Amino acid sequence: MTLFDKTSLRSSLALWAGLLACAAVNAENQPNSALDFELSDGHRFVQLSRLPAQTTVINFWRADCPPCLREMPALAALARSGKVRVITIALQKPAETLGAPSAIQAALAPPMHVLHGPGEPRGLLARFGNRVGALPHTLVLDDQRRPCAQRTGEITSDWLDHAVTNCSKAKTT
Amino acid sequence: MKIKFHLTPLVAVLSLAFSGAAIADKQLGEVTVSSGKTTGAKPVLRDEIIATESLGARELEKTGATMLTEALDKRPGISMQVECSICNVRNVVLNNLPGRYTTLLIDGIPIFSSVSTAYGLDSVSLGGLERIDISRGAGTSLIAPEALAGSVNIVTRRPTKDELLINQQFGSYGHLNTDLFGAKAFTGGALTANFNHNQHDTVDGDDNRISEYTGYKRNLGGVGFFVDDLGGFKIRGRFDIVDEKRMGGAMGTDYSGVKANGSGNPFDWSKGQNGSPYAGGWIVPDTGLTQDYTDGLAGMSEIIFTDRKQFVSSATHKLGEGSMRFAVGYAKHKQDSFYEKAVYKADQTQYYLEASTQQPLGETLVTTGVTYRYEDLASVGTDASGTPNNGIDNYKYRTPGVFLQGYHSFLEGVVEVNGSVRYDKHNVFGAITSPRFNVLWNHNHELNSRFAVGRGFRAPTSFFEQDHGILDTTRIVRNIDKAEISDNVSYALSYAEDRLAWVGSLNYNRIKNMALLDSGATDPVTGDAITLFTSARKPVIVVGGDLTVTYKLTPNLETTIAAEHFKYRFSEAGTLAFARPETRAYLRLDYESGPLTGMLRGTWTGPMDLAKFYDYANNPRYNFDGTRKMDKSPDYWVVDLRGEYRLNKQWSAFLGVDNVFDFKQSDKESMLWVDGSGAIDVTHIWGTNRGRFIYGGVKFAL
Repeated sequence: MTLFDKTSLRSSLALWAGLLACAAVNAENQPNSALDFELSDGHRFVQLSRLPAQTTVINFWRADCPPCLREMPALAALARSGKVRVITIALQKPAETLGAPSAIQAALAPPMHVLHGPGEPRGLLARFGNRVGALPHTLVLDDQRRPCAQRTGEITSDWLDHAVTNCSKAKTT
Repeated sequence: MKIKFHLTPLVAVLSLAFSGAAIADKQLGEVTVSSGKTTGAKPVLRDEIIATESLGARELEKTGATMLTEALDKRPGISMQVECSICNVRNVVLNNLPGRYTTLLIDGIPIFSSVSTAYGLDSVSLGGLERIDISRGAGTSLIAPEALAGSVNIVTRRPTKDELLINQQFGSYGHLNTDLFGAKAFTGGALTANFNHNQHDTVDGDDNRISEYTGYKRNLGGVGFFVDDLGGFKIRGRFDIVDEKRMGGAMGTDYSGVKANGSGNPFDWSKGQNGSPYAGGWIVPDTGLTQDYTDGLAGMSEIIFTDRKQFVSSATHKLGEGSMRFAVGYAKHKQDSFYEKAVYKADQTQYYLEASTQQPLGETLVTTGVTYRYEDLASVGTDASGTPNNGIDNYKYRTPGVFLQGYHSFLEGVVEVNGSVRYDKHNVFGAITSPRFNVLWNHNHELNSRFAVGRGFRAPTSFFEQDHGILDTTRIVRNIDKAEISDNVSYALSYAEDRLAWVGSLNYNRIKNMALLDSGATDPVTGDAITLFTSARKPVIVVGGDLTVTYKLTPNLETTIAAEHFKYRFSEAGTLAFARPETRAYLRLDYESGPLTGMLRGTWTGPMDLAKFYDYANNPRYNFDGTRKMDKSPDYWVVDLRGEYRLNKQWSAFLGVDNVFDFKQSDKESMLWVDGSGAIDVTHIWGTNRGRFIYGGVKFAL
């Protein structure tokens, strides 16, 4: 057997070993478990589990996604109401989100929390219930960081109010 | 507590079907989701079931790339290979397989050929792009079975607002690059226009007055259109024009003067590593005698003018629970070239037509469609003595095809399976069936496996398949009746969490009937130079693996470390005709804080077995002083860096240095070589052909 053959054999074995490893790992599917992330706000890493317990709306967006931009004012209004914490996670670099219209930049001002997702957002999105990666994607988490409502696609103020209200009810019950 | 809504994989895929770009391949762009509960969504994960690397417009900017070949270079499993030191044919190499096995698509439409990719890859506009998707492996593209090594899909961006982008860059060696992009968005659509001017002087690194880096002047222009709803159709398209002039060998841009200068010795053959003992010629290795050079500037120069027009468009319409798509592509490519006194003028036309539909059948998503591809080539030319050899590589290929693909997810999306088969009826190479099978296994949210097995086929053409085989020959003898067939198996394991991501992949590629051009043959009767066009008798096997790890060190600093290792099994000279390394390593740092962004990357290229790839056993190579060329190339680093500062919302300034430590092959070994009889060639290439390159400029965005 030549060195090349041995290498090919090793590579093939490694390939099949990898496939077999697939079967050894169980898929996780625990929709009601507490969610967490550790993302950059441009100055520090923000860990959701280290923030004060509070009902939280999390919105994934991009500046080149029209429905993401359309729903941003509703999210900003909710944040300003003080009822819940609103965190936006841009799946773009900070320099790229600067391309958003000035009205959106204004909407992203505090009290909105503005974070940026990783370059490879697959794991983050899947963890937050969006395995296919469609945007916009919005979740409402209760104060235990468990999802009580989520929507992939454009949201409305009504949906947001309803989801937050239901989430609060779920908390009290 | 109930989850209010969950997007199932099937619903999601159906949603993505309205992307308008390559429905059959699920290549994703801006989409409008109308699957009951959602409206208006944009997917950010690319064709998950097939391992795809996506480079966004921002990433292209950060590398300082001004053309496609630069943008794709220096990435694990992906590189750019120069195959001629004086004309700088550049190929995009995937999995270290020959560049002609990489298929380029524009918005999912294959409209490039071996003719148009020879010099055309440099002329693909980067203006107005949303991203570039790179998929490695045969059969990664359902609509481009000839992608034996993989495909590169350029996805244009649908503007959502009025835009004006200007990028003006200056650099060493007379480099000048101007990019203009404008967009007008309106209710229900958008129009775009882009223009690029790019020029660069010839570069001679060893002072022998023969360039290693080809000079060029290139103008690109294009317009694009996007209509969201025209009778229910979502339409996009673009029309592009390319006008490029390049010359290498002789320095400067006096094209007609160089062509007319056909005698004497304007060069200094004594310069550079292992230069000749005298300026007027070189040592003939077999005899030890000298050989004077007398062919003037023309005898060592290659001048290529390219004129290209292309149009691509696609339309998507809802059909039942699924969708249908129509796509059309057209390209007219003209090459007017001068190769060391030989003249070659090629005129090529390509058409591409596609009709397909994607429908749910129960829980299975089925895609089916038909394609028709037309590609011809008509050439006229003369060999170096002026003898006409018109039409020596003419061909007309017509390939109708049908395809069927089924996608199904199991275990609530934990396992996704995709199987497809194509049947093509090639007018020369007959019926060819090319199947592929993909599995995506989501072990958990962060970790998944992708397994792919597929076959591709490619109808060889004689243009530039290997070296400059069509040149300086009286006719081509075609002893080839089989298409090139590639079988590929690959496995990728990837992990992605918030700060850490890694992906490792293994690839096995086996290519049968690899096309071979032997331009050194002679007619047994007349003694004239002829070219033999044959197939390799034994398959070529390339096995490799790569690992890429990305970690966010601080909120502003990200590092990427990657390595690749490949093994090559081939026994016939000319199959893997250009040297390639077994190992490469990559290190990169990306910084972004407020208005400042920076990129630093180092690429280490391991030694290459020059003796094996360049077939020293049968055709040893020599320097001009008669000494042997190196058996193995040295390993080397190339370090690039770039910084950008945003002055305000409209203006930015940038500065970059490519090849900071000024490594160039000509410092170690010339790209020129002679054989035992003293015949010269320009293809001894293993290193960089340009030293340190400094550039800077400004950007304006409105």
